Amino acid sequence: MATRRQLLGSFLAAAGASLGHRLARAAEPLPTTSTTLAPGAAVAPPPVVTPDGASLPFEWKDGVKEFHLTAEPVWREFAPGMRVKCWGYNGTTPGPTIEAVEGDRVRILVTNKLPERTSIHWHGVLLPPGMDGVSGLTQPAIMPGETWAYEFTLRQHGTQMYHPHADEMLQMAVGMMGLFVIHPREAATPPVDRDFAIMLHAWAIHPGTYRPDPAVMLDFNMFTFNSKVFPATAPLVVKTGQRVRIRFGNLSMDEHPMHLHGFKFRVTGTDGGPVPASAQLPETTTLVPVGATRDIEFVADVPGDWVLHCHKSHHTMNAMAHDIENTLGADQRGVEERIQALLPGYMGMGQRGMSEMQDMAQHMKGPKNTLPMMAGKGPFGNIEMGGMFTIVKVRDEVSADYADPGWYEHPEGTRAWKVRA
Amino acid sequence: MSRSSLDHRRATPVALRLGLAALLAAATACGHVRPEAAFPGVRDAVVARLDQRVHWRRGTAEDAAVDAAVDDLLAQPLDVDAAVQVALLRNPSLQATYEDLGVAQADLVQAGLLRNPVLTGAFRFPDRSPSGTNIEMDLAQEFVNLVFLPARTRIAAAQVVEVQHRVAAEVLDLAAEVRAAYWDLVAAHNTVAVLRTVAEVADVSRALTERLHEAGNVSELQLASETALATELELEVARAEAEIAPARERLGRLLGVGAGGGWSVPAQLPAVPEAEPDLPALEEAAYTQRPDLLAVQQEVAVLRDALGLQQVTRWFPIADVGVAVEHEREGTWLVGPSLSLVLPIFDQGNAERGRLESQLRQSEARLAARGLDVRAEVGAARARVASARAIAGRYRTALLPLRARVVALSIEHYNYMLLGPLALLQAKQAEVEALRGYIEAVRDFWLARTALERALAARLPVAVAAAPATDGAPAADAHRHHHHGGH
Repeated sequence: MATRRQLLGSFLAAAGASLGHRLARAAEPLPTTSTTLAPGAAVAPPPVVTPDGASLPFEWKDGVKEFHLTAEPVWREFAPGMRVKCWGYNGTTPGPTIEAVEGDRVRILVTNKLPERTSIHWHGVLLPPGMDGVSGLTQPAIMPGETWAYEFTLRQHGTQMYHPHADEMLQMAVGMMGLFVIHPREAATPPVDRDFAIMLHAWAIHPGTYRPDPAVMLDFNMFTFNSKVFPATAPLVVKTGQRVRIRFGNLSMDEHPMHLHGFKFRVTGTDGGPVPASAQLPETTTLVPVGATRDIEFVADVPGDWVLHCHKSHHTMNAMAHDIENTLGADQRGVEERIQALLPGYMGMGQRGMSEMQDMAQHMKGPKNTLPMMAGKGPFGNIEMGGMFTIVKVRDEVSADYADPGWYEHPEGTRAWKVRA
Repeated sequence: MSRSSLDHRRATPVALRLGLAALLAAATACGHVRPEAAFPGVRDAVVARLDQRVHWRRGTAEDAAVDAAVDDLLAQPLDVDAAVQVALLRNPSLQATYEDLGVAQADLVQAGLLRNPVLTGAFRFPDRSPSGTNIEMDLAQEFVNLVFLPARTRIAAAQVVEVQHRVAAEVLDLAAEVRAAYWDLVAAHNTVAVLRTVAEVADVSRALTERLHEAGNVSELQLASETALATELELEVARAEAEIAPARERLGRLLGVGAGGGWSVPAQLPAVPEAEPDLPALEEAAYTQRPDLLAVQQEVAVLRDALGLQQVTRWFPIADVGVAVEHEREGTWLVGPSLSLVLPIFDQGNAERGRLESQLRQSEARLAARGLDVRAEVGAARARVASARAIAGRYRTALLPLRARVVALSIEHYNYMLLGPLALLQAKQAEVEALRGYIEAVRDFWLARTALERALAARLPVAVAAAPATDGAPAADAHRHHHHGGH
């Protein structure tokens, strides 16, 4: 049940031509998928899908895979109605996913178009100290306008990351981060059919503003998958029975317990490499620690719309305040009218809970460039979620480009029913 | 300078020529006093400066018409000019002041009168023959009085003018006092209205906190804090309300109608007018039309005149001339002129001259001081008007819209539950507090303007400006577009 893309990848791997690589890119149906990795790989893995993102193209030069990253300010739309002035790479945050194969020699050119110095640290990659990218310690910082080269041979495989190690606190807080996927030289057993890469992040973007506040340490209010919030996060589309890998990277200052509905999964890798089979506990939630990656694998054997989300419930809201009165259960009758006399348009909120917020948000004006707390319409009503939330859509039939198949239609008698009103 | 003094000057040589008997007859005819004669001068001065009516209640039919006009004014909420008008027509102190005109007028008539001649007589009865009563009679008239009568009359007339200026000054002072009292009263009402809104916001905060406390969501500590704040503001309202009655008493007293009765003032201060009249021109006018300044100038003139007169009279023999009649026992009548002469041996008039000279210098110094006063009063009042106008303007064009904007944006944050209801009410509180500051600024402006009007002895015309509501109530539909459906 290989996809068209996988077949094409296999063909190109066999052909072993860099020309073929360019053709493959030209034939790409979706910009969110990676280039093929041939000819460095002994066996072509399925390309990594970076939802709402892309992999970084490269060129072969004298047997070296050469990548080019440009550090620069970027606008990122977290969801319609909210654009954020971030810093990132190659026009986006997170930066494009770097894909290579164990044994590759890679050269990464880094151009600094930021207003301040930067550097790149290759998080978790085993390399000579002079390539570790710690400004001041292993190299002078890359000054604005300069281009520097990092070159090293990949001696491992797994999910790594990249991020600045100059003014690291600020630069990561405003979005400078990316995933660095090193495929194994030997085929994984069993091989996965779908390979997703998701960078987790937490942001402080105060209501009514558009720039992340790097000074915030704990009180973040926007939580993203690849710098998108639900309902703008792309669904993960999978064909029934496929083996699925999801790679999580976390460069935020919060840990994120990632929870998947519908399946049990095993954690098969960390930024330290593959987890031995004997250590792979069956789980439905795994904590992705700060500054770490986790790969999970499962077989998507039940079709449906399955939720993948951070289980810290504040992380699945958007733009939530954390220092306001708790109005739950407070009867505002009588008082509400008096407040309305002073503030026409006032309405007492939260007495019966916060569900009503999603309906109200459609009628009420909020601060500029600020998303309402809960969002998302499903086939049965409000989903009342935001932030680190997406849907794994498992279907018996999927299109060649894994386009969003729409809402799952439950077979008769398989959905919860109302017993009494 | 008045017509009467000119008449007397012309009459003087005639009187001298006609002699004693004729003069006596003429003088007898001049004894009637018309106290109201000096009033038109005051009236004209007030009309020129304030464009308002004055009336001296003298028990005439006009009194009833004036009363009816005042009652008409009192039936409506008074604007500041109406308040001044009522006071000018009703204030009893002013009526008392008008009597100064009567006194001055009487002095003038007095000055125009000759001293009454003195008739001395002696009847002597001999104790032996030849019998027959010896009768001696002397009708004498003070000669100096006769000669200087026109000059004294002139001085008295000048004094009438001086009194007219002083009375006009008092009228203007009263007008200014009425204005100040008026602004204080309207501001007191306005402040109370705003403070009531401030207190209502605090009390609504308290009520909401109470509900949150009942729901188990906020501590007793927070509830007690909110309740204490609401109570403080309730007390502030009570304190502000207590200012109204004394302010009303003061204005009612100045109006001459008392605090009772149905009269009322508007609940809100008028906005600061957009444009000011040409102040430098008015300032120049101040030096020619301040009645108190004119009064002191007149005082100097009168004293100078009086000193000049004294210089002459001190060397003029004080003499009584008259007719002496004696009836001798023999039956003969002896008739002839009499003369008695005061010899300036002990009192040569030096003390009197010294007194007048001191008074003149004193008066001249007072004139210089008053000139400085006027300059300083105009300067200070103009500066206060300018700063109060700038402050009130900054409130109106900057702070009030900003505070309203903060409320509108707070509602947006509240709508998305990014701001709690208590913080939203705090934004409203700050808005109403700004309004309170604005009212103080507007009151300061009108008080400063009143001081300037007083300094200029003028009524400044008002260019009416659009006034924002200043009672703290939300403008109708102000936040309507934030309203959401479904409730």
